[in-house]
Amino acid sequence: MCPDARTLSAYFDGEITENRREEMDRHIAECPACRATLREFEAQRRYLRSAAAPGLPGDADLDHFWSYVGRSRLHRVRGPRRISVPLPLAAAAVLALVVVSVLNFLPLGRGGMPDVVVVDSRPQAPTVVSFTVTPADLDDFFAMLEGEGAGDDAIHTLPEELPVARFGEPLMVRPASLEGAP
Amino acid sequence: MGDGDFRDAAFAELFEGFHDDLFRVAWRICGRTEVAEELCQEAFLRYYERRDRLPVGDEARYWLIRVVKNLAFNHEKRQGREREAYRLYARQPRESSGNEGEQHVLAEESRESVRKALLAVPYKLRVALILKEYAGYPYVDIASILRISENNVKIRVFRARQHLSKILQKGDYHVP
Repeated sequence: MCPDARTLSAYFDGEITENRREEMDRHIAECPACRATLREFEAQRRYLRSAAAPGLPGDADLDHFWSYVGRSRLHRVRGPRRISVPLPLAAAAVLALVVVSVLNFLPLGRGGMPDVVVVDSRPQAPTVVSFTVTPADLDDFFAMLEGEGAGDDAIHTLPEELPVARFGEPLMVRPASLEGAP
Repeated sequence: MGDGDFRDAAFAELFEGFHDDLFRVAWRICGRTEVAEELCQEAFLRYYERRDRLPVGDEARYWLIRVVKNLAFNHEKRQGREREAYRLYARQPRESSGNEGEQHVLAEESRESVRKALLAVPYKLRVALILKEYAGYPYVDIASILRISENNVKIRVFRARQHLSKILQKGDYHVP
């Protein structure tokens, strides 16, 4: 009986245990259908590798990176830009931020919410990252936070003048000072 | 040498040793040189800023790929909304890079063909296939990078191949 195509794909990648491989070697030697599938994988691989990726630009070295760091930091400390969210989505954004913050920072067992949600524990000043998130990007934004920030501390703030009065100002998203942070 | 100097030296070593590979992975994922370069710079910057808390060695490389993958995903979503504008741009004649030779033209066509086919594969599947076919990582490493199980890697790679197969059969692609 033929192995399924998923197993053949793993076999093609050399991701099969030694015992299973010997068994499959014997089967494939006698099975034209499996050999045809493997030939197709092989053709795909040749095709994918027929075009080399372009080379890096000539100036893509460490010096170039440092200049990028300089530009980027300048951009990042240029004063907080406001997250502009149309009113109908603002409530959803705040709610989502509260949920994310609670999930990340709620000190279970201590009772009550903390006054200050922090903390970047590095001794040097924290990096302030400010950017605009459009409503259409909110899902991606949260996905990015979840992906890149897993395990890291972060602060999510909304501008104080954002019209979210009917929900009040959530404790978890108030601006926090890092001075004296552990 | 202080701890900070040591970490800076380690960062420089990581950058020099992995920048090219990371760029190629980024380029395969997003298909555009300038975007791939920007994604790499941003990934290295994020690593640099947190280098005292982040892993080193292979794990650092996996971390960087993961960041590039996430950034590329966000870029791709934005690009979806700009697709029409990009199509218009793509139809315009490209500026010559100075090499007008036939080999250069063929190489460009081939690269464009592969790029187009790969970009038609759904994002999650494409990333797994790229890490297998171009970066050459075994399933266990891809699982670490993507934070999924090995079995899931096996499924994604296979499904990417299925998609690619349909794309190559339907479109005007020359498969050697």
